[in-house]
Amino acid sequence: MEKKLIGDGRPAEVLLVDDNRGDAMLADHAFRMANVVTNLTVASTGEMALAMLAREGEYRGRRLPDLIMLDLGLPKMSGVDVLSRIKNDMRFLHIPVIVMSNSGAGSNILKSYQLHANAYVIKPVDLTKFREAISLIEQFFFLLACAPSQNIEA
Amino acid sequence: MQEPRHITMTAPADPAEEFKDFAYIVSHDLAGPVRSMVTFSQLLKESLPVIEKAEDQLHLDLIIESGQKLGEMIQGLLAFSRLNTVPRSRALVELEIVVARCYMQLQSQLDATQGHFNYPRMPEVMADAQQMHTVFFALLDNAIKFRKPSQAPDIRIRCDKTADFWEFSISDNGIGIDPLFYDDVFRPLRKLHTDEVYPGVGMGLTLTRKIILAHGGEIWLEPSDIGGLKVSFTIPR
Repeated sequence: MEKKLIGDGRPAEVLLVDDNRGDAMLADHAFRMANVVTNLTVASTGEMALAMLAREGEYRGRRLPDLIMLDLGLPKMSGVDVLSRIKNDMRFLHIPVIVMSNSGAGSNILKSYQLHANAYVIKPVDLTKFREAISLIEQFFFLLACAPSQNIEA
Repeated sequence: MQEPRHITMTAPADPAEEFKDFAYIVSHDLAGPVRSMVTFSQLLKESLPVIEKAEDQLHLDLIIESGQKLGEMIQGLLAFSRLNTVPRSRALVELEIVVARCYMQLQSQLDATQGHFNYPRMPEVMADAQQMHTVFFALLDNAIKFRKPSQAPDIRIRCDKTADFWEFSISDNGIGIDPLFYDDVFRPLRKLHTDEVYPGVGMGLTLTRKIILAHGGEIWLEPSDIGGLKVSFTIPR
């Protein structure tokens, strides 16, 4: 099956913020299996994710991600902090953030949406379901929903 | 932000509080590694050429099955510990809607087993809506699951009003429970059957009892009039 490019004829850029190597590999696998050509970048800490977004140092000149997938349970800076930083920064707040969590604890769900997460997804335990989840996310955010054009800022 | 260096911990830890957190953290944090075990075994199974030794195939399948089971158990424990850590909401809950929703969710199972389900006009109670759903769903799901192999399930809800309580009962014509195990079945992860015969992790009645007790009610088991189990519980009016 031919893989699709997104709107402006390029691969989708996804930033995954997750310290669990297994989950990161799994997401990478699922994106490769799915319909859209995706460049997945993994940040294993919140600090690293923010540096990537700010395009500091080695990340200079990179394109901003089209989608951020954020694990809440990160070492040091928590996922909630990362979310709040992103959603309070004019440069990044337009980027959809999907919170990926191990649990459906109600307080985390509410908290995430209050901080303007664009979706909250519980990571499935099963391979097939994990692929389905990634494929649905892709279809919605890259194929169905209209994405904001990227800010070119100084 | 650097914390000042010489902090002494003076607040004594409350063991009960600590345990609440412990159960939550353990069950929450175990989910990640379990997911990796299951999904990567599944990937291995997909990508390996046909496994020649039947025994190897079986071993790989067992790893996957056990991991999935562990995942379900963790979810069950997580739900259990969440009953401690998440405050209960209190609102007027229309049980008519709660039961109808359960009915809808269980419809396909009832159809497949040609089961019958009868319930009276259900009242409104002051309770946590989500938890009421957990209770009715778990009990109805059990009533279908633990049916006699040769008989279509027959499930009946009864609802009585006393001075202070609503008393509900769910009767079935299933395999019942040996009265010797009436206490035992409420323990977390307690099962009376192997997974091959009746799948599940053994958290349904555990969650149900915890919710009913937290609402100020009681729950008990007895044989039903129609040859199975009758689960009764009360909720204060």
